[in-house]
Amino acid sequence: MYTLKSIVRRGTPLVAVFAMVAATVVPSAAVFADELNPLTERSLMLSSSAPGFVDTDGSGNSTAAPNAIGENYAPAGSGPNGKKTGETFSFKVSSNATIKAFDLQYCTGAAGNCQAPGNNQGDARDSLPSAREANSAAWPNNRSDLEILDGFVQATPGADPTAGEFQVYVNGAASDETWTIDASNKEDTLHSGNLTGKNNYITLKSTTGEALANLNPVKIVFVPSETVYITNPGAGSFFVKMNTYNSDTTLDGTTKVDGGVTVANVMTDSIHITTKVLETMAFSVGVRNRDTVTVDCLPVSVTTGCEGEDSVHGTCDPIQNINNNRLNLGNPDAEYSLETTKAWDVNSYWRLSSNSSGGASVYYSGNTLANTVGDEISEVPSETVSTPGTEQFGLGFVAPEEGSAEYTGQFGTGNIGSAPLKTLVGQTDPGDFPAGQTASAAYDEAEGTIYDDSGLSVQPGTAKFKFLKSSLETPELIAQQNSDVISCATAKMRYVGNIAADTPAGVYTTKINYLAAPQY
Amino acid sequence: MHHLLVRFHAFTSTWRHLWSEELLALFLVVFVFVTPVSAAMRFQERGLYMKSSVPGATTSYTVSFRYMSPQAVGSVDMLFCLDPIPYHPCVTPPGLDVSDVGLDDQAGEIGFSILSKTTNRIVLSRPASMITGAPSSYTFDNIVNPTDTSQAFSIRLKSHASTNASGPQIDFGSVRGQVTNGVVIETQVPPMLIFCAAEEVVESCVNTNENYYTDMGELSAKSTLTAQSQMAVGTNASGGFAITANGIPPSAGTNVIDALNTPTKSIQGNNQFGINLVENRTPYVGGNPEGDWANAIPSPEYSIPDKYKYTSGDVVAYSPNVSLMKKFTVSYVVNSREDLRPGVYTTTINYVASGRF
Repeated sequence: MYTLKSIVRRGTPLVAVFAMVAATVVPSAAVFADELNPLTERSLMLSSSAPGFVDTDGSGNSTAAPNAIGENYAPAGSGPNGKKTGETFSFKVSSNATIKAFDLQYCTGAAGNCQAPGNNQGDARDSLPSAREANSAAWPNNRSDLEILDGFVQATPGADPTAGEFQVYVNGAASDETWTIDASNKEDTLHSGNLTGKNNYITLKSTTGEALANLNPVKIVFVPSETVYITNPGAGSFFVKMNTYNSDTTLDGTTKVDGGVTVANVMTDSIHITTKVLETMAFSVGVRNRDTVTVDCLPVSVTTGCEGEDSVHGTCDPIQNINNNRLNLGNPDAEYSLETTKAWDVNSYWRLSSNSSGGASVYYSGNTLANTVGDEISEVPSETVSTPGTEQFGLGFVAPEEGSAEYTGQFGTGNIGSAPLKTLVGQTDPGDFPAGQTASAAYDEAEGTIYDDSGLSVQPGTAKFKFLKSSLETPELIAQQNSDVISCATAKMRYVGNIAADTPAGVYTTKINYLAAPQY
Repeated sequence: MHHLLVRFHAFTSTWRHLWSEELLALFLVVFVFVTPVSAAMRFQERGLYMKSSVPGATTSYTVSFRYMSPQAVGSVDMLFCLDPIPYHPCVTPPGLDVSDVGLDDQAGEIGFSILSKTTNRIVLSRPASMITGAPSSYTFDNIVNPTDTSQAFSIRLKSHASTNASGPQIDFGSVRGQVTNGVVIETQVPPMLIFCAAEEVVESCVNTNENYYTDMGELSAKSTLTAQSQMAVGTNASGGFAITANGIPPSAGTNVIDALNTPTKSIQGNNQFGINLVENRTPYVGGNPEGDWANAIPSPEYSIPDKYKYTSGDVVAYSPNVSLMKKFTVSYVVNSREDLRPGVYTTTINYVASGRF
């Protein structure tokens, strides 16, 4: 017993010393476990972290099985597609050396014997390679092995890669050197688990190489195509061992420069968010555009548009119906009557919003101006200048005015227009009109004067108008586009009235209806 | 009896080996729980064309879409609601009524007829047949538009294999439309009447010779005194114009030359005062009306050549409707008997033009 106590008493300080020494030495041992210099700031970015058996978008469509109109949102290299991925490796080197080769080895562990990632069934060692399930057989069962398909080629030296290509970047610039790629299987048969037998090892070699210095950033980018790609494993994390070599012929410990480090990445299935966008439509017709009035004012008045303090504009307010959409056309000093020596005009607006992917069409329908005994002011069968002294009732598009100062203060200028409906001749802004928008061609020149009284006699103006009273039975198409949704398309219509000396006296009225037909 | 029981047992025992309890249970599970695969798709190229967007108007709609699922279709269900969400309760758009619709036209997938219709629902039916994939459209008349202009309405569409819109849907989708108040444009065409009178006027009345007096000369039983004046008139009055002549015949104090109350030839030696508005040969005086407007004419009793009449207040020229400028030449003749009392005979004839607006 005394001996035991003595040993304990005398041994305790020795144990403490060993403990202190161990605590000091062990962390360093981890660093020195790899005798090479490390690659630093290592990262691996996958184009998709979805499992390798997934290649569908949120609607369940894929390139192989698109929707009814041939569309899908999961092409190779996209976020939802784990079958056909691309990868970007980034790191900084530690050593000053001319690097002529890189290798990338995908394993399930960070160190030790390498087993390629994947969760297919079977072991490739049993009878290579058929004992391990092929990906095509495993995918329907929600399993996948990591697999690097042969076929990647280097992009043009100095250029960025496109589909099916890779590129090496040094200091942010695409390498001007020629690099060759080889993909193969490199697993350790001593590993206790099943092996995949699939390509998990990439080498990039260049006979000239790149002269790299300490902390030079390197990036290796693989861009997938529908036929050349890297398939993710079906689950779990994996590691990539990366090394640089100063030889393009011998890739082993004798030529290693930097490396021996690992990068891990975790497979996760994509987050699928499903929602529905239902058909919408908002069509308003009126005689005042709320965007053009000041609404934050008192007293509240329909006439002025004042709506009270703190009133604000919306991004796409409906066109306002004032006075039951009644417009008086003519000389206000003569009870809004028309004259033989002067043309008169009025304006209205319509505004259409619709999420119809097939665009929309807008029509008008109505009779020409007529009195109660059947006398009519003549229609304008083709686009014609306004001519005082000649019976005319026509309409056409003009550019909507900018919003009020209050509106532009909220939203800026340039927001009010007919786009994506092209309604004005020469209209280019915003410059992205779909081709073939010609529905407004007969109504697109209503800008300009409606008469010219600068000379001895009154002459026609420059503005042109058209109106068909047959529209009462067959609505007349005046605006159309078939490829885009309609986001707050605002049109301003201009109506002109002219009479001849023999136009029967009386009160003339008409009602013009506008129709919108979206195509969903 | 025993023999029969043994044979029955043998028979059932054989089937029991073929249909074990487990297999039977599996069959039932499959039968009960595995429903036919339904691959409902959304109609494509969906559109709604309303012939009139006037609230409450009776009009026609054309509903167009493309069938997507390659299956036999026997019926199409069209449900008119405020919102397009299929599983929401359907609120009928206020004012809408499709209970009296007719299927006016159909294209693409055809052969449909209206199986049933209510205020907000139409069911089209046909013998079920495979779709062809062509764009289809159906035009309905006698639809009463909704009345609410503040919001759009929807038509929920479904196709079915059955002929009465029952059972699983094949394709679905919706379209939207909206009624709007039209723009009312009101104006007036002012009444216009242009009239001028003088010894000579131009047709447009822009000028006259401003002479309103004529000395016809000395009366004699052996001669006829003549004179003429002109007037032009135009109006946009839808009822036209009328010109009346007003004034007493030529007189000197209490002596009056008799006016001709009926169209009468000029006869020297008689007291006569008359006028007409045409060209005469006996005596040679006057002229026919000038101008393009054929509807502006002298009154019949004042349009007979060589016959004259004068009754104060008579309409001497008129038009039944709008007539632009027309020029009339008025001929005056005066005859006198030998016993006509001497004196200076004068008269003032006023012409009054009125528009019948």
